[in-house]
Amino acid sequence: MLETLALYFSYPFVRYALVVGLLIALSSSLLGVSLVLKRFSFIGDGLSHVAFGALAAATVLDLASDMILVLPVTVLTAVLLLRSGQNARLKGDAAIAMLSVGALAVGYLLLNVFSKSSNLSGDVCTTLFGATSILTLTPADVWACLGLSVLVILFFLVFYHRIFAVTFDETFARAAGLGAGRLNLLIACVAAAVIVLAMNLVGSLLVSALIVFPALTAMRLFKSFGTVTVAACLISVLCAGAGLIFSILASTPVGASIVCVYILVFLAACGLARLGGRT
Amino acid sequence: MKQLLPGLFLAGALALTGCGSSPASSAAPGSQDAESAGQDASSNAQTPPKENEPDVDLTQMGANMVYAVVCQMTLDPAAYEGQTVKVAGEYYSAPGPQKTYYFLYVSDAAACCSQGLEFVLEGESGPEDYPKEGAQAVLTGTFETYTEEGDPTLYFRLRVNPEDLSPS
Repeated sequence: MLETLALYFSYPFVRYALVVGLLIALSSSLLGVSLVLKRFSFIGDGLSHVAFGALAAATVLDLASDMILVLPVTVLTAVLLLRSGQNARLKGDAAIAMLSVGALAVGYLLLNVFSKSSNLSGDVCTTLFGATSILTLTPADVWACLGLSVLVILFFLVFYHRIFAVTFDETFARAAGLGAGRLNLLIACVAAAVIVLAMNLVGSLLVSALIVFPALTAMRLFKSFGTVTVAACLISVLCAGAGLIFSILASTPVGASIVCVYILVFLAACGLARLGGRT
Repeated sequence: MKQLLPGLFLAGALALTGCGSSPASSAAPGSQDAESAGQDASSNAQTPPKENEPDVDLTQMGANMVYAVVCQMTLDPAAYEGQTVKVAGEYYSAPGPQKTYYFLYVSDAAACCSQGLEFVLEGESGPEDYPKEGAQAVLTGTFETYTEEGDPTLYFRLRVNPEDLSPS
């Protein structure tokens, strides 16, 4: 097995996949802690489905790069969803559900009616489940992922205290003049960028796992915001790396393998918490 | 320290990208990377390749890796030029405007994505020298790129000695 692993890692695209996968896992886990605590766990699903719809539109329009359409549309949707607030006519969960299924249906319809691809099912399957797309990145894709991941991580490092305040007491943050409105806007943009990146790793349907599982697993074991954030990062990176390597060796779908590792670690954390007396 | 941990990890990840060729180190970074990958693959890290071993043996890899390697061949075919490739897949032929094209299809593990790898037999050969449609086959051939008259697109295929084509 080690010889096989050494052979596989002699290929640069496998190294690219691992680096990009770990960075995506790190970025999404940082985001996930705030989103889970703000009760926006399903935002990943909603935004990834909107991204799928935008990707379908970009494919039909035959754009040079899908990102031209996918990223702005996803960012705009994230801003609308996360900034709607409590006075919105359409509350958060209903809005997410509506946009999510609507974008998925419209995207699939566009692809079926207008796409010229010879393997439509394969393209849709890859986008929804991220079967092997992480292994087919070009160097340009890698640099783009790297750049976005660096921006996400820097954002969390620089605004850590403000993110903490906005997450736990947004009213206080506004009253204290911490720029809660602008920070929420930034979080929305970062969420959109991370989700678009994460679709390369696990596909549209499984993106929520990258956001939710590390945070929930860490919360089973630790209590303070900082410790949970660090633990979520470590858990996410280790699970994503293990899942990716397992899928390469065992020829299983990458996205599903990573999520299964997350599930196992979450269950283990629940067991440890129960043994330790935490509920 | 807690806040620095993601930053330290990022530094480590960036250092990891320095392993092997940098993705932006040349005008054709994929070429350098794929060439070194082909050489690394054939060397198998420690032992030099035996004389009859192919440079890229897809029959020893899992389905996901096979699909990914063939995808890389489509992205940067020039990097694999001249290398011997061994592959197993499902045989199909497709009539073209001037000639018939022969393929082996490889799929990823979920079988939802497939790639066709074109091959041609050396010497004079006819349809009777090729496998039956849909049959599983294994072949070893030399990777070559080519263009067709009036078409600037760079294509690639394996040039195969008929003796190196067999049912799997």
